[in-house]
Amino acid sequence: MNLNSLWFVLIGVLFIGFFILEGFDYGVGILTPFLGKNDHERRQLINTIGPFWDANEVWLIAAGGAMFAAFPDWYATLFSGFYLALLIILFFLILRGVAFEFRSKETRPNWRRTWDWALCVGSAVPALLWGVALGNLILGVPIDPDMNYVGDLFDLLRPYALAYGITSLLGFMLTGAVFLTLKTTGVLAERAQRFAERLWLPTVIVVFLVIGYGYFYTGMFQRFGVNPGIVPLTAGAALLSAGFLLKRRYNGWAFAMLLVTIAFTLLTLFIGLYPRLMVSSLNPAWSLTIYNAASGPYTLRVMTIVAVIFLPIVLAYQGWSYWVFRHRVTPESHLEY
Amino acid sequence: MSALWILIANSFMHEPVGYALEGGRAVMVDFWALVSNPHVRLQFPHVIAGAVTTAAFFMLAISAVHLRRQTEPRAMFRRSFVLAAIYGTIGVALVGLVGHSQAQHMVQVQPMKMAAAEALWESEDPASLSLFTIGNEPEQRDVFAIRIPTLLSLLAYNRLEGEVRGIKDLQLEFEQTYGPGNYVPPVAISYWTFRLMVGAGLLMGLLALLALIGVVRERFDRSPRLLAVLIPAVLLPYLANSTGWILTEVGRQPWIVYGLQFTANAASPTVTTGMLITSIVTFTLLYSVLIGVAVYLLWRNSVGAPAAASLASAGA
Repeated sequence: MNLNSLWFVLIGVLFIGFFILEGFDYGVGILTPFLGKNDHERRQLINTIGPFWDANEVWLIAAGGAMFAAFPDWYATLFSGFYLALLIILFFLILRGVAFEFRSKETRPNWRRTWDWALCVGSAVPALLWGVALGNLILGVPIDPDMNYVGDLFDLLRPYALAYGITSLLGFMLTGAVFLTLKTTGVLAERAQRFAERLWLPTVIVVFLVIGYGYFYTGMFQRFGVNPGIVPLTAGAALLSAGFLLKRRYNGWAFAMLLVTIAFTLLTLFIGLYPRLMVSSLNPAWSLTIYNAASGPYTLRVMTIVAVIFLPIVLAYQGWSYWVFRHRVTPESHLEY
Repeated sequence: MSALWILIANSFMHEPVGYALEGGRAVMVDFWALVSNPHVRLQFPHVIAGAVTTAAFFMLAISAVHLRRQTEPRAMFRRSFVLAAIYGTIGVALVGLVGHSQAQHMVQVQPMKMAAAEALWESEDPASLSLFTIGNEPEQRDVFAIRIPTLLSLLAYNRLEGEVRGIKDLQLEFEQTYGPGNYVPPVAISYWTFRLMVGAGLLMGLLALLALIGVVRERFDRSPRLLAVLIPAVLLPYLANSTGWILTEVGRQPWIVYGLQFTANAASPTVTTGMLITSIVTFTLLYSVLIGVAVYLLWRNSVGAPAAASLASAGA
């Protein structure tokens, strides 16, 4: 494997890591005002992700940084082309980030209610828009021969891309609800359980409609042929199994299966793209690839050495933080957030 | 570590090293040259010492509020004051010393920034230091100026002579090297941010020293004037940090990467002016709100009603 392919894989891994980790904590953020009936319950919900959400989000920053260094033209086209869309995402991510910190530093109910909604909306909008962004990567966007994006914000928000957004929104909410059944106790866990069971079927329907339509609609899926292969089928099977596991209260397994669904859906996307990075809807020859958008070989070599040294360290301490906070949050727990 | 890598990236923009041009594009050829950029060696300690100074003045101000109010436990606020006075003195001394070396380095590698920061229109040998200048920027001349002879040469080279080149000479020189164009950064902004940064720094040096003397004489908690002055002084490090960054970035103009790329050429062709205005207005509004909330919370938790503060820190 050459270094260009290696970095395509690594950036893919970073995005998959981001979506499986941040997916459930977006879900928890969205559900907090709905599943928590009083302040104490909402605090318990927020504290299930309090120690993790920021480290989860760093996967995105790492992915963006790796794009910038390994494939600068990809970064330039994407960040300049999707400027306003990313501005909206960033706005809500900032709101969400401070909501965690500000919320419980004041006791007035209005103050806390305001930041609870900031957390909810700040989680929902990015959860929706990341799906839209992935949808656009699949569908291709207008890119001219100079690697410039020539559409506008509303080209990105076309109905079919929005359908992908709704898919990711539902998927993250479902994963978040199942996570809450594992990390809370009593009434809260029961409420999350009921919500997850009810949300599962609509999620399945939307996912299969959107993906099924896309299978015939976009060039992306034609590449997989009639038998799409093991990767997308695994994603589908994992999503279906999650519902049955939930019914039988194997919630740990259900959660694992949902993470598999997210990971394999993204894997499908990246396999479909390879070796392209961004598909031009105007002319296939104008697409960005891991060769025409890459940095020099020396840069890629230095990056590889740095990644080999530091990636295991980062993985180890993030794993450690999950181990430290592995217990359920109970009504008696110390609530930091 | 974060500051180090951010400044390695920023230093490349001031003093590009470790690259080669391949088909109009700068490609990294030497990672170690990038990491050991001489500019980083000065900028990094300057920024870190600035951060220590900021933290020290923050702690001094909060300690001063509580010592004036005689909040219990007084021993704790006395200790935090002593610690902050020591750190503040060390921090501000380092900022100044490193800053002096940075300015000497700047004369060598970015002479135009120094000329602008000094509003030095003509080259001088020995060069004078401006104490106060009101200039006419379009006509490149002084309207009113008080200058101390020879002092700029002394500061730049540690001796009583030596030419410091002025804006007009440098403009001619740059035109010969890089072709026609305007190579003069906004002079008034460079000049006044330099004055504000150094002024705030000197004032902080004086205050840190007074605080330290108070500590040595063991009478700092009984000097109402010292404590009263240290409270608004919390704004000084923020003023110095901000004006320092404005100076170093504005003074580099019209370049985004010094000598390699103009800021005007670095703009994305697909991002319109309207989009840029949208984003800057959005962020300005958002951050104004967040600053308000953050200051309110800091106030409440550090110097607000003690009952509320202890309630919040206990996680109620």
